[in-house]
Amino acid sequence: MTTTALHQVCLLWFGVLVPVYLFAAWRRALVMVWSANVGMVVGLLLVGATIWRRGTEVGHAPFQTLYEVYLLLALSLVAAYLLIHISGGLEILKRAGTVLLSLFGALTCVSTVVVLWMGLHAGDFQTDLPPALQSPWFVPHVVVYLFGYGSLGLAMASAVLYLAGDHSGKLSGEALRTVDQFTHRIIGMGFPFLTAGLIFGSLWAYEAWANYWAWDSKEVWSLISWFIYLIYMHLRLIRGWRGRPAAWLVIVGGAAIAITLLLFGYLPASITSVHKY
Amino acid sequence: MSTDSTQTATRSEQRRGTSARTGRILQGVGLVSAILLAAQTFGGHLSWVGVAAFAVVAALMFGLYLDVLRSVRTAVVLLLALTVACTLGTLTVQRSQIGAASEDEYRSTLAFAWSHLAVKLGHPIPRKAELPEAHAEHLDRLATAFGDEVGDEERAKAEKGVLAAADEESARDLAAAAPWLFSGVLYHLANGLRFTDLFAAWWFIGLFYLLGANLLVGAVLRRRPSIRNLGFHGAHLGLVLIVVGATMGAFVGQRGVLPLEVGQQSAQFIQQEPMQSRPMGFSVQLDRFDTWYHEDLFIEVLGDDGDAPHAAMGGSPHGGGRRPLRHTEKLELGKVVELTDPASGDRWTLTMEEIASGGDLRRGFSPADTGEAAVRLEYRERGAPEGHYDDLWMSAADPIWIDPLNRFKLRVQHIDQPSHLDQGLLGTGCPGGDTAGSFVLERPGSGTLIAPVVPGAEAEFDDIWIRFDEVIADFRVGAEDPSPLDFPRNPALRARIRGPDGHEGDFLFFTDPRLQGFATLPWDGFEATFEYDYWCSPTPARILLGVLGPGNAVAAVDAVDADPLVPLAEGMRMDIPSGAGSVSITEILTAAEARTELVLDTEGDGGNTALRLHVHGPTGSEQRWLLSNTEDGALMLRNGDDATTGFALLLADNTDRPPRDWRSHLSFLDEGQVTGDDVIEVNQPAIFQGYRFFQSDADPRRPDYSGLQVVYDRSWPLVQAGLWLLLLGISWCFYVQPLFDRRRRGEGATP
Repeated sequence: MTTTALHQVCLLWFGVLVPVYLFAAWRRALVMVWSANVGMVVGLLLVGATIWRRGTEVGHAPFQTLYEVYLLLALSLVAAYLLIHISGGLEILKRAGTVLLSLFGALTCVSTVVVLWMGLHAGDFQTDLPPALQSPWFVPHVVVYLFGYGSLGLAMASAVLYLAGDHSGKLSGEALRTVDQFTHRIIGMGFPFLTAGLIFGSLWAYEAWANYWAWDSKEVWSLISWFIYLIYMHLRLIRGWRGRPAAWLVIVGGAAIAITLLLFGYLPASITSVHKY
Repeated sequence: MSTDSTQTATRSEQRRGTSARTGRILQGVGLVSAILLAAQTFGGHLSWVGVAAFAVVAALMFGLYLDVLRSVRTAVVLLLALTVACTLGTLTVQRSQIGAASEDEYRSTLAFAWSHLAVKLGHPIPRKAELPEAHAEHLDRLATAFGDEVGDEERAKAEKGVLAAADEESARDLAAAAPWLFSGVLYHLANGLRFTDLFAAWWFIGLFYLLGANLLVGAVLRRRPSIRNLGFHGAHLGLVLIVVGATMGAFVGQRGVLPLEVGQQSAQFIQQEPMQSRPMGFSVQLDRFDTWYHEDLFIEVLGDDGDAPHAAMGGSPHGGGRRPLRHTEKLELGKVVELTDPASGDRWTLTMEEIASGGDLRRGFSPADTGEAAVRLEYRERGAPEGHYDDLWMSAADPIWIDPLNRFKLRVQHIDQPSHLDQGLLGTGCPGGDTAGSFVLERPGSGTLIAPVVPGAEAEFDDIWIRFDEVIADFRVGAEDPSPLDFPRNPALRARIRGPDGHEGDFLFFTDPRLQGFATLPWDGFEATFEYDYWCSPTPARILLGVLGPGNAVAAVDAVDADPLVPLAEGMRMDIPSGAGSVSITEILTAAEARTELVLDTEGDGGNTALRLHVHGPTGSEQRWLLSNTEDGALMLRNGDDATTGFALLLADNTDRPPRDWRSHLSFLDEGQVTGDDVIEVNQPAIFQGYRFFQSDADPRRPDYSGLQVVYDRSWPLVQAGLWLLLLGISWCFYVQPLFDRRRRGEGATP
C-alpha cells in the first residue's frame, strides 16, 4: 500500500470517528466514548504505519517536509489525546459531563482530520536530507516539538470548549472550573516538550551552525510561543488567572504555534530563514 | 507606656528600613560602577545611551524599587514586552541577517519581503508605478539569490511560496510602491526604535538583562531550595545562566570564518563583526576535502525500453518527485541484493563490498590505424611536490581543457597544414591590451564606468577619483602569510579612491567570489567591482598544441609570441605563460581510438563515488566496480550475448541533488609542527585549544575549497548547563512536583 493510500485511509478513519463522538455527546453515552477511544488507538496505529511507510520510501526519518510534519502532527494529536486519557486527565473531564468528554474527542478527531487533509494537499515531494539535518538531534528535536504542538493544540481545543460552554450558559460553574483545570493539565503535559524542542534545537544548532541562537525568524516565533505559555503559567500562579482570560491566552498560544509551524513562510522575516521546509 | 513602646518600635523599624535602603543604594552604586567599568573595558557593544539607561534602571532595581522590580509581575511584564518586540521584529527584515550594504538595498529587500507576503496572501498591490532603477536591479538580484536557494521551481511554489516567474510582476508592483511604503512615518518609527535591527538593539538586549536580573534576585535567591522546589530553582537558574553566558559570549567570544583550499594553511580567521583578521596562536591546514553524495544503486531490467541505462540516467530516484524506473537500493556496506531475471530466470547475487570516494574514469587512447590525433600530458601545478601531477589525455575530438581554477586553457587541434595554426585559433588578441582587467564602478541611475586597470593610471567618474596602485596576483588574508604564488589565483586590486565627500582611502578589491564583501564602497549608491581578466591579462594563459596529420611533425604554439612553431616531442616541457605551472608531453598519437578505464584515486580530491560489488551469477563470480555520475561507469549483468536479458546497474546520478556531507581533514600546527589533526563534517565540529571548527561552506565549482566557521567561546559550557538545567527544571516542575503535592495532599487528608 502506498503512503498516499494509507494516508487516505487514516483520513477516512478519523472522519468516521467524528460522528461517533458526536453521537455519544448527543446520547450522553459513555460507553460509546470508550469505544471511540479504542478507535483512536487504531487510528494511532494507522498514522504510525503511514509514517513508517513514508520512512521506508524516503530512506530517512520522515520529518523533513511539511507533508511529513503534518503526518507527525496528526500522530502527536492522537498520541497526546491517548496519553491524557491514560494519565487520568479524561477522568477529570468526565466530572464535567459526558457531553464535554465526547465533544473533546470529537474536536481531537476534527483537528486530526484537518491536519491530515492539509497534509494531503501539501505536496509529497521527496528530497534527501541536506547535511545539516543529518544529525542525531534531528529526530528528537522534531518529535519532541511536534508532540508538544499536538498537546498544546489539544489544550487549545479544551479552551475552545470552555469558551463555548461559557458562552452557551448551559454549563455549571463547577463544570467550567473542571474544563479550565483540564486545560491547565494538558498544558502541564505539553509545555515541557515545547521546552525540550527549543533546547534540543539550540544544542543542535550549535553543532551544525556554530551558533546556539541566531535569531532566525522561526527561532524567534518558537520563542514567542514559549513565552506565551510561560506568561500563562505565571499569570495563573500569581494573579490567579482562570476561566475566560486564561482560555483566551491558551488560544493565543495555539495561534503562535500555528504561525511558527504553518504560517511561518508568510512572515516577511522568513525570507532569510534557515528553517525552510 | 504602650504608646511609647510602639513609637520606639516604629522608629527602630524606620531606622532599620533606612539603613537597609542606604545599603541597597550603595549596592546599586557599586553595580553601576561595575557595569560602567565593564562597558569601558569591552567597549562598543552597547551604545552609551544603552549602558547608561541600563545602569540607571539597575541602580533603581537594586536600590529604591527593589521590591517592585524583582517581583513576578515584573517578570511577566518583561516577558510580555519581549513577546511583542519579537513579533514586531519578524514583521520586518533584520539588517543583521541580510548584510545589506546600503540603505537603498535594505529598503528594497524589505519591500521584496512584504511583496512576497502580499503575493502569498493573494493581494498584490495594484499599483504600477515607475520602478526606480536601483530597486529594479536589486530586486533582480534578490529574486535570483532567494530563488537559487530554493532550487526546484515547482517545489518553491508549493512549499515555500517563493515567487515564481509569473508572480514576480506583482512583486515588482509592490516594490514600486516601496519608496512610498517605507519612507513614511512607519518606516522611520520602526527604524528609529531599532526594530529593523532588533536583536542587536540595546533596549532589546537590555530587556533580557533585566529579566536575568529579575530572575536571579526575585526567584533564585529568594526562595529556599527544597527537593520539591528543585524544578523551580533549576528552571530559573538555568535561564539566568543562559542570559549570563550569552552576555559573556557577546563580550569576550570570537566568531568568524576561515576559507581554506586544500594544502593551504592559516594562523588567523576572519572575524565578521567588526571585520578583522584574528590570530589563533596556531595554524590550521586543510589536508583534504571531500564532498559526499547520496548515492543509490540503481537496478534496471534490460530489454524493456530499449537501451536501459540511458533512460535510467535521466531520472534520479528522489529529485523532483520522480520515481525510480525500476528499483533502487541504498548503498550500505555488506548489503546483499538478489535479482532474478524475469525473462531468462537467471539469478544474480550482488554484495556491496567497498564504497570509495575519489573514483574516476580515466579516458585514454590507444594507437590505431585511423582516427583523431591525441596527446597525453602531465600538468604539474607550480609549487606542487615532485610526482604530483594531473595525467590528461587530449584529443582533437575533445580539444579543450580548462584549468579548474580558470587560469589557462589547453587546446589541441588536428590540422593538415602548419600555417593553419595561427589562423582563427588564436583569435584577434586581447581588446584590453596591457590591462590586468577592468574596474567597474556603477551608480544606478547615473551610469557605469568601465576603466581598464593599468597600475598607475587614474580614472574619474562623477565625484569619484580613482588611482590604480597595484595588482596583486594572489592575495591572501593574513599579513605574515605572504603568497608564494605569483600566478593569479585570487587577484586583487589596490586602489586609492576619493569619494564625493572628499574622504580618501586605500581599497582592496578581490575577485575571489567568497570575499566579495570587501569591495564595498562607503558611499551610498556606488558599487565597485574589479573584474580580473584571465584571458587578456599581461600574462595570457593559453597553450595550443597542434597535431599534424599522420606521419608528420607536430608543433606547439605559445599564445604570447604569436606563432613560433616548435616541434612537439615526447618528453618536451612547456611553461604555462601565466606561471600556473608546466605541461609535459608524455605521448603523442597521430591516430588513436578512445578507451576508458576506472581508476580509484583514494588520495585524490573527491571525484565520483565508486562501489565495488561482488557479483555472483550464472556466469560465475567476479568483483566489479561501479562509478557514479557517468554512463560509462554502468555495469551490465548478462548471461551470454542476448541484449534483452539481464540487468543494468548504475549508481544514480546525483548532480541535481544536494550533497550528503562535506568532510574536511584538518591538521593543527604549532610553530610548524603538527600537534593535532581532526576530521570535521557538518554537525561534527572539532575543538583545538579552545577554538571550535565547524564545517559550514563548500562550493561545487571549487572542489578544493572548504569554508569553516571558527568560534572561540568559553561561555558555551555555561549556556549548555543553563539549557539543560532549564529543561530538567521545567520537567521536574510539571512531572515530579505534582507527585510531591499529591502525597502532601494525601497526608493532609489522613488524620
